[in-house]
Amino acid sequence: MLPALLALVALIAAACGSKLDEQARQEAIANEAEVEGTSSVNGETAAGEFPMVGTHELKCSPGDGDNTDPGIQGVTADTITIGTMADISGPQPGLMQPMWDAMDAFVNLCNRYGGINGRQLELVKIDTAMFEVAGAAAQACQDVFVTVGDGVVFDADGAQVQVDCGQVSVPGFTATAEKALSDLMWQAIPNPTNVFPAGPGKYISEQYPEEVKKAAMFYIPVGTTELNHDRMKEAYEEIGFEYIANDTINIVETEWKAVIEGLRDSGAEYVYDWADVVSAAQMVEAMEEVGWRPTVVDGGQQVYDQDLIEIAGDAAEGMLVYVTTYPFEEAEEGTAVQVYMDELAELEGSPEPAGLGVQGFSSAMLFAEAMHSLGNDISMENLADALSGITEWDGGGMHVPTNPADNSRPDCFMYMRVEGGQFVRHFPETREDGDVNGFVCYDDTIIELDQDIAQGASAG
Amino acid sequence: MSLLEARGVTVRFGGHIAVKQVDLDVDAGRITGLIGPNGAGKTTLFNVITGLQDTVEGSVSFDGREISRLAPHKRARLGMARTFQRLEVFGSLTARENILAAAEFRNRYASARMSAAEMADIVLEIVGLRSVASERADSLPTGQARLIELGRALASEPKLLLLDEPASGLSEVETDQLANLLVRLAEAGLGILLVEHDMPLVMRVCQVIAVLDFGSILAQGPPEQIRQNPQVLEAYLGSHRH
Amino acid sequence: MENLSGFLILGIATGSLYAIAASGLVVTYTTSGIFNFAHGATGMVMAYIYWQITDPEGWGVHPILGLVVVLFIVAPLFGALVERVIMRGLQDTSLVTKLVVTIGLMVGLRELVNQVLWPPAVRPAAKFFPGDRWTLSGVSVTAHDLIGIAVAILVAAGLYLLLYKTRIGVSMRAVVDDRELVRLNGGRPNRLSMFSWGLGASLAALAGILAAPIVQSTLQVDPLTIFVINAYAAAVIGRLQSLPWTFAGGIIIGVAQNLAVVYLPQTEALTGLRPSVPTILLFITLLVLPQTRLRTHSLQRLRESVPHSTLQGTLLMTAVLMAAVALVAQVSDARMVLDLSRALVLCIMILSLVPLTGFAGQISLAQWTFGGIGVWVAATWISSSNPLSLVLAALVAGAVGAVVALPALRLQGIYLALATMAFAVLMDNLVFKQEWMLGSSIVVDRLPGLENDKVFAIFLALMFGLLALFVVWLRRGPFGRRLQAMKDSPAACATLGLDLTRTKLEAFAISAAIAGIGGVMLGMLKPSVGPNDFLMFNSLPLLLMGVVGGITAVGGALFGGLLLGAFPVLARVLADVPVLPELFLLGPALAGISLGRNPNGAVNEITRSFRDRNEARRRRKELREVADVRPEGDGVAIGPEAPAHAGDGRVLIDPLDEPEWLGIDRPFTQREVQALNEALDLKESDLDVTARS
Repeated sequence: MLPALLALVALIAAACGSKLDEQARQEAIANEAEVEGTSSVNGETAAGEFPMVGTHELKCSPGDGDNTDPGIQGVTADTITIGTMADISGPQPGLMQPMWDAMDAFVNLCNRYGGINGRQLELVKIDTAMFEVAGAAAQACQDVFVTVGDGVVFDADGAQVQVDCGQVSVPGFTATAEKALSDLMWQAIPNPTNVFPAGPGKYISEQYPEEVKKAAMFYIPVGTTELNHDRMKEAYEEIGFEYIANDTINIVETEWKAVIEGLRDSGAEYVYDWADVVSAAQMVEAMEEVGWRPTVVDGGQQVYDQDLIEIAGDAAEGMLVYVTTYPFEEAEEGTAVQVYMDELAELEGSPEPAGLGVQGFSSAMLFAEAMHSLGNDISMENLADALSGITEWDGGGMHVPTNPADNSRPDCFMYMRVEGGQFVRHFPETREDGDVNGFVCYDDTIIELDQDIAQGASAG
Repeated sequence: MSLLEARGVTVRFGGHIAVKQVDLDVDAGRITGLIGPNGAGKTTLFNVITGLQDTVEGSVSFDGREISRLAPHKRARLGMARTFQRLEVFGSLTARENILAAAEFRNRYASARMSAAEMADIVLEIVGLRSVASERADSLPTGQARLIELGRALASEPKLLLLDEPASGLSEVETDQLANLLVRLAEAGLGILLVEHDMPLVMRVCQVIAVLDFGSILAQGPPEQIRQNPQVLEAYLGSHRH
Repeated sequence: MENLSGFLILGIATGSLYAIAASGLVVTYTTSGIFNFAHGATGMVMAYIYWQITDPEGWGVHPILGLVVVLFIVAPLFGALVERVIMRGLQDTSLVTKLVVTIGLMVGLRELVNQVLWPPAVRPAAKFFPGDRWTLSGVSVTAHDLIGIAVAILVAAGLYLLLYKTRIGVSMRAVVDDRELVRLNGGRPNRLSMFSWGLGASLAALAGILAAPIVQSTLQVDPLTIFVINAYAAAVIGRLQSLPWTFAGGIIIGVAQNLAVVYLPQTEALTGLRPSVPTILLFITLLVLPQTRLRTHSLQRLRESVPHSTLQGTLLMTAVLMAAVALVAQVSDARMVLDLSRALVLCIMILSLVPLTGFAGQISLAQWTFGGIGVWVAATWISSSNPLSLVLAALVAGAVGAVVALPALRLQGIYLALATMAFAVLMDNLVFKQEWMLGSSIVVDRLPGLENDKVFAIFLALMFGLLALFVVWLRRGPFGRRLQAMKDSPAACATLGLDLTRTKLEAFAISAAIAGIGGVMLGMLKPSVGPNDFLMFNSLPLLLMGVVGGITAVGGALFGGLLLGAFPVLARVLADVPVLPELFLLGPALAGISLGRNPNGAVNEITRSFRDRNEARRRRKELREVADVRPEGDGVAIGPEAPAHAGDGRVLIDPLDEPEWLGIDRPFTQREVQALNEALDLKESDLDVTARS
């Protein structure tokens, strides 16, 4: 009896403890914001001017000094409390750390320039631990104004929770259909799961018309990976791909060599792996070992990761990877992505830049844009209205142009190629050849999908 | 026809022959003693009869049925029950619960003449354990634990009772009571195979005694005969080999 | 098929590693009687240590030196340490305790590596002689593969020489038969145990290091651990005693797994089949094994006790629990309410183990699997908002439990545990992910009226209480007695006409039914549940915390479940504090390992010490009434005399008011024991032999 009560007391103590800890953490964040940085953003701005992030005016400024308390959760006359949900602890510790890092970077930058209309940003980091998403969303509903820059693998579980409590979210990325199509959600790079931008496939099919008739795809038949596989398959088949092999692999695949041998026997000349970067790395390593590879080895943004080179080494040579975020290899003074990288470098431990982090940073800028336009007239409805009014967005050149209001984006992309142990621009050949920000944009390649996709979380 | 017939039973452990060509009869209504020095194979023989031990050769039949291939619980259901030399009481149950459990087991496969609880109380009385009925079996001294095992065996209403040193740890008075009980049970029609080291007890209650030495039956007959058998005297009664 | 011989070679290569791993397991089992579930985790840890030592990103030491250090220094030391500190105390304990401790070690090692020492990052694992490869009948075989085969042959030869040609090896084999005899003949069984555990760890390390680059080209915790766990099947094929058969078993598994790649189609329905081949082989082997004989005295002198729960006590507990939950829910934030609810679900899951493990002494590593079946039934057969769905879930889960137990019932102890583990893994790999089953996820509606999270939390407390009452009611009735009897002496039960098989079936069915309800509760708690919620790995902490809390009592299940639920919460809340979060994440593992000291579990220990104290006080009072009178000073005193103080440096028994009570109201301390020994001129070693029987 008694021990059971003791355990309950432990939980209660933890409940009180969590509030105290949050307080301490928030104070620490506020103090951190004072630190000067050496970012590539303009050092000084006159009143009324905004710092430039690439081509975009970042709406962080000291404001007019006549703020009032709007009387809503998370916003006072001097502060705005935002939350960032991410998978940090749990079976894969540190999985989405780049999202927290990106938000730390953004908050430092924005607060340095006065916050949003003079309201300093206070960041509450909420750990979803992969399987506690509903609880984290409930915490967000209670503790913060809105969530910004989130990165959660199983975000479906939190989608309805936030919609039900009427909370806006501006995540860094969305994984599931429930979140991608959710109400009260806007993000820097929309990912509506009921369509698929087949631009990259069109490019490949133009370059390799014969090979795409003997296409192969690998995927893990679980969750988001399976969803994306299904979407790509339907869309690419629509534009002329013919899959002679469409095989499932295991989350932990130990038989890559045999799988590749099987692929060779089937005569495939193009392959795409819908799994994580480790899986793709092992795939090309197995190809190296077997001594055969198809003409085209294709991959998406999830493979645009230095880990690919680190793991696979020479085996990754020649791999094509398409991206929608501005490549770090072309970062330079004046580009938006350089700002992100510079702010990251100022953080403790100087974390590496990551594509998902770029998306989170851009979503935070999107939030600032909308928030700033409210002035003193701050409410959740007004924020939602403001976000619904932003029809053009590219984070100052950090990524492909998008339409957050419409939860859509034109089909723009860029192909990189692994050469000499590096990711090198492949198509368009130079930045100037591109249509926007160095990316190429295709028309009429966004395929509407016929298959059943889950509903987004809805408000009613 | 005997209640229990063992013919040519042979058991081998590795290179060691524990039981060698044993023929044994146990009749209903009689108490048959099984004596012999330690290691003679008495408990092994018990295990063979009750099905806990395989034989290399030989057969066992019970009540006219060949039971050599039957699983232990099936043999028990035919009507045999036993106690164990190294205690196998249900330690975490009370004395009463031990016997109650046995009675409940029985009621699952045989028609119940009375409730298990009634049976348990009666048996408790018979074996004289009422005073410690609510004590955990593993907290009781060995002697009383043996009585619990006896009670359990009785609660399954057997035709044949196989008792492995039931008097070990009992006082003189208790041994006396046990002897009376055994005689009464045999008179009621039970067949009893009794392994014991307490010679006076054996001589007193058994109508037949079989002597086991190094796995073989040395002699088999009424107590008087056994008492005077020179081989037996030499092997067991006379020399202090245990 | 032209490539067949090529794939055969690859299969033999993989199988060689299985064989090496399994041989280590068999060595430790035969010399200590403990099946080391942590064998796989040991191999994994050693692979990480090897990487740390030799990789350029680590310390960059030469591979040969690294091998020597790990295989001949680190691994043996680790194995010997584990034996000395953890395993040696397990000699007299029940199988459940032994299992829990080794499972605790496995979980602990995994968490230690993944959370503390080497958090996830890219750590490429290079093969030996990476460039060299040959093509054999169309299949490419690398030098690394051939090295694996060569090493296995060497290990086999080495073990044979060791066990049959050396003195220490012969002693190792002797220890299995009779530990005491070895000691009396001048051997040192403790030293031998340490040696064999050290050897086992080295073999695990060898397998882990060789396997790491094959399993995945980067070091990852779970795949590597699972690889070595797959080797358990080889050990089972060797009946846990025959090394030749163990080696053969390893080869068989490796070849079968490789051939499965060739011959099995890669459809969605069958994806999970390939990695399941070793598990399937394990299952088949377990079923085909000859029947293990019922042993008398299979559970020797246990240091464990079973308390008596009462219906009234359980009712009271339920009422208090519901009130406490209501109170906590009121003062907590939304997330904490969900955390508390999750803890209550864990309590229900652990409760499901009470009839099976606590009463009947059987082991199941598949509780969450039954939970998954239950929630699937409730949500998809009829809607879970219908209360009838709970009943249906319990019935179906219970039936599956009985069916699963059926072939496994002939098995005892370890084999039964392995069979449940195999079942759970197969469900994970093959069934739960299917679209018609849990797919990616399913949504489970709550019963009407329970939409509010706080109300649902109280409902969970009520649910636990009802199920606990049911369990206690069972315990006090014939069914409970049957289970208890079966645990205490299966042989006696059989000779009393009890069909053990049927009784075990019933215990499994009840346990699975309760677990099924627990699964439904989890589904109702979360917005959606999927295969990840019911993994076999998640069932392990249930057993750990259940046994630690006291698996024989429903109160223990409550304590264990709340504590298990509290660990991750505490780790999160105290995330900024150094060390503590890691400690909390290691909580279940540490608890499991420490069980060796405390087989009764925490709850029982605490309540028992209270009971003992009260008992002692009562007896003191009784005896005080017949105390004698003695002169003291000018008057008289009632009660025994206090001992004199000695000034000559002798160790004294601590002065008490009533020295006669020593050992009654508190146990002897080590000092007192030594003092007694001195007084009686006894040595510990004299007492040792007679103490064991």
